[in-house]
Amino acid sequence: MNCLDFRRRWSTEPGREDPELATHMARCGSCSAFAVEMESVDHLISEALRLPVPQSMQDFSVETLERGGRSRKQVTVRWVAMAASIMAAVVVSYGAWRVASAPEDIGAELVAHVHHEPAALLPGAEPVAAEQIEYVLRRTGARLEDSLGTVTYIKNCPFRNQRVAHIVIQGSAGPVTLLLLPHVDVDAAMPFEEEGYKGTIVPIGSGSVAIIGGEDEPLAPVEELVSSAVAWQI
Amino acid sequence: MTEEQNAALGKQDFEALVRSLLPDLYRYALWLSRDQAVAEDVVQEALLRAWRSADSLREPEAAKSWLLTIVRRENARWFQRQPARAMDVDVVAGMDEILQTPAVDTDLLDMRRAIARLPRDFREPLVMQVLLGLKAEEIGEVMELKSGAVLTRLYRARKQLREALRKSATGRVRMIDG
Repeated sequence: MNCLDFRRRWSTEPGREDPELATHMARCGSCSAFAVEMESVDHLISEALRLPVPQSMQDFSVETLERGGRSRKQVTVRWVAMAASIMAAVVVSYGAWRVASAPEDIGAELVAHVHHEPAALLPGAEPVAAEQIEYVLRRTGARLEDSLGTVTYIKNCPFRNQRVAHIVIQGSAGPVTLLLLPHVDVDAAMPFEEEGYKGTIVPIGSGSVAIIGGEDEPLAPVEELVSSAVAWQI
Repeated sequence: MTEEQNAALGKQDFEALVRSLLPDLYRYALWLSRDQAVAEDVVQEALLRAWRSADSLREPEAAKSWLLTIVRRENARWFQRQPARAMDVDVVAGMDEILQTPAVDTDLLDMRRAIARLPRDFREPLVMQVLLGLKAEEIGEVMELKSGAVLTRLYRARKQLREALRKSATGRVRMIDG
């Protein structure tokens, strides 16, 4: 086996247990170093492939399977919503820069974003770990000075060319979506109603937080909670 | 043994088999579709098909390849039913939150992004080899390819990942220096 054969074999089916590869490694320092580097890359590949698995994909029974579990409709609805939200984003992007002067635009854009991720509002979601909350906030320029209560969803989302924290907490009438917008400056609270949702954008320091709930959700307690809990990283 | 006992045993065996493989079947579907909701749906549908045709599995040692083949076909069916997807770069961006969870270090995140950007022809055999432990021949059976073609794809996948990782590292050094 020459060095070229060794490197090609190691790059396709690596392993010291192959006697031919092991023999070549023992007598070729350069290929041995190559193998060590590739082992390190392969270790990283292996670790990288092990993405977190949701609870629904960790347990299994035939009964649950036959009862239907997740329905395809959920995903199809999500894709339709995604297509609709892309259309909505295209439409509203015309005035996307006019934040403070056009509350109706940003309201529509925010609701389109909520539609974009309907899975975030599914009932029965488990609370998100504090570590994950902290991680997303850190990446989006926000921090918490107080608890937001039970967070059932948090994601780092694109919004107006920025990465923002998309959070779902449990309000008194159902799930309430928060979008933490450190780059959107508003002078005063900007309430809006859109497609059966009720929302407001409240100023927090140099940024703002969008609060979006159902029609029956009283938003004042959430505004109070958000105002005392959310701050921006310096 | 009665027919009912046979059926019960079959169900228990099937459940045990699926439980042992479910996380990796999901990850396989996720790396194929690069969409968490689609991956869950595909796996769910695939398992339903597998259970309904469980009596077609003659060799228990082939169970993993059998399930992977069903997941793979279900994924293909799913995408055949959908309109054309968003551009690849958008798909990768949409998957980014999953790639960042739980909090991961920069090298690992760079590697996940690089894998997500690999052409599917390279990504899929790599997932089957590294994550699911399949040999080139077994991957070839699932993908309907000759072993040589599988090995070529594995070689190119690793080569591209090494290059992507080097570029990311170089970029970070430049940022620090600059």
